[in-house]
Amino acid sequence: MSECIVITSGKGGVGKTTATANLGVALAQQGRTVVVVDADIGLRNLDVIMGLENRIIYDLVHVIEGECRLKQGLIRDKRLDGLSLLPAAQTRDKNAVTPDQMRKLIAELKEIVDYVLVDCPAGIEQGFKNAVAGADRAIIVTTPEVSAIRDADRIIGMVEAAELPEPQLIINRFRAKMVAAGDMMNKEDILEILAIPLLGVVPDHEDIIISANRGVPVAFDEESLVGEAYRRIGRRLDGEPDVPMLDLSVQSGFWTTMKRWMGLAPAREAVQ
Amino acid sequence: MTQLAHTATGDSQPVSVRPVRGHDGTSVILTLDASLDYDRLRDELVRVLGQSPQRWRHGNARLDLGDRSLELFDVRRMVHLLRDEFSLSVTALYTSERALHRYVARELKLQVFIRDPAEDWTHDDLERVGNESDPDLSPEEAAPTELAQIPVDSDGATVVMAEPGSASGSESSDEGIIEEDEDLRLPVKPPPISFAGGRRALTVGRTLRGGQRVQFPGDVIVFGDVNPGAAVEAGGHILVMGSLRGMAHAGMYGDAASVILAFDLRPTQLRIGAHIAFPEDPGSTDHATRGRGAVRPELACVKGDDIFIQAYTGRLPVLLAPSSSPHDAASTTGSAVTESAHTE
Repeated sequence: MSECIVITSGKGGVGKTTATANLGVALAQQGRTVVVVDADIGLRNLDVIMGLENRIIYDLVHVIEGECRLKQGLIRDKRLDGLSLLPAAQTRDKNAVTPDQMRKLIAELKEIVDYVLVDCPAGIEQGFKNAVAGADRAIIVTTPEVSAIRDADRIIGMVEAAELPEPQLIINRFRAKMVAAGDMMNKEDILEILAIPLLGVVPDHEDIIISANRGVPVAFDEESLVGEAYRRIGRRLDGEPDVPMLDLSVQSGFWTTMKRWMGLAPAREAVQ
Repeated sequence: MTQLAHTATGDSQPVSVRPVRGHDGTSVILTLDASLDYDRLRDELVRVLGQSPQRWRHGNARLDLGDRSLELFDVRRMVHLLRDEFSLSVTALYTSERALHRYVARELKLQVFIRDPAEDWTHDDLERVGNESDPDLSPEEAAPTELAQIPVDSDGATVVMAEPGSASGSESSDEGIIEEDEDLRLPVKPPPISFAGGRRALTVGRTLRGGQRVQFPGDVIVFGDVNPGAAVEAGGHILVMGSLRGMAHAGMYGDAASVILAFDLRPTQLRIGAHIAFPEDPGSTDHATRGRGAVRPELACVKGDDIFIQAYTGRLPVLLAPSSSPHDAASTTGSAVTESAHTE
């Protein structure tokens, strides 16, 4: 049974697009067929993050307006067979599409793939309404910042109002060291306010910037802790029970050094 | 400045009295000599005002301290003296002491005007005080042109001050007073519906998230949290069976006897009747500064002119008479149920 999941946050810049790309990669790695849809019409980014920018011929608005067939608009990922991208139009704006048109498009996509992941634009206006239109459920991305959590809370309320089931939460850009020092909100603080199930915590790391610039989602990187975080979130999303949470606790320097020296710990760790 | 005060008022008049008409009606400006200590000033005030005590009863007074330095404690004593002895409400304070400004505004709920000793109006003002300091001068004789000299808030904000005789809440400070600004009184509207006996309550069975708002003319009970950016407005009490982190306005039609109760009370802002209060450190509302175990039900209510937060002891507090609630209406409410939780 295929499913459409919208990835949203309210606030911009918290990592919706990165999360969408990496969850698409993670699900495709698990053998699922996935289409990632960039609903950020006018400000498309997902194609860049996925390294597929130069392959765009048709986009979402072309498909919706009937200028091409749906399958012509889909761009196959160069590394994973099961993964495709439906890019946003860069020369149009959010009002080029209506929620009804999106609903129809998503329904068509769900007939050909297991998962449709929709990258929602920031904000609560037309773009959000379009992105949520065809979705079966929602993932909320937030960072451990008060402003991001305020917006996430607002968006959760709007997702509930759109009669979607209870959304799940991804906490992005988590810095265990800052949390340990009391300089950053911890997981419990965030969950206490937002009160929705936690899908995963993604550590902050420079990997994510490097991978975005290269157009290779970090979930491809077997050694990256961030990649591992997204792979585990992908497994949870796919319904695999009891995927353990990534251990982001600040480790004692001595043992980590010893383990790394003995080849037992990963060479790279999350910035903490 | 000290020099000017001396030449203008003279040693024989350490306290000068000048009636003026301001936005809050007729009031009297009391200019205090800059060189005298509190005890001398107090004696002088009693002497000058005592010459015609009936004349000032239930009036408003503005204290002009010049550039003298008076302890907050002494300012408070003087305000209370005027209130208790002469039924004079001090509504405003003129001082060149900037340090005094913040504390007086917060602690005594006075309008405070900073006066620059170098400014011209100060000089003119003092001369005029010298001419008109005769206590027998009737208020009507005060020249209307003087109004321009009085720095009145452009919006004519209501001055918050304890009514003569009513206990000032700022004195019982052991209950954890939170800040209330004197220029932040709310306009009070009449209730939209008439009531026919008994209270009505609206039960909200979910958490109110940012951007969501519940408004009801009776009491409101929330089974859930009220998150930052959400608002609950009730004609009567508000009970939050969870964390109150957003805004709550109890007694929105002026009933200052309404209370706000929450299992975990750390709001961005509280309003009861016409009063507004907000925590001194809003940053602490999100960052867990208190452990889970420390959370206990707390209750916010109005005492005197302040909103107090105290531990909920299992009953409503014995409230002092609400000092200024134009409508004592919303203690009961009618049947219309309007919940507007617009979530787009």
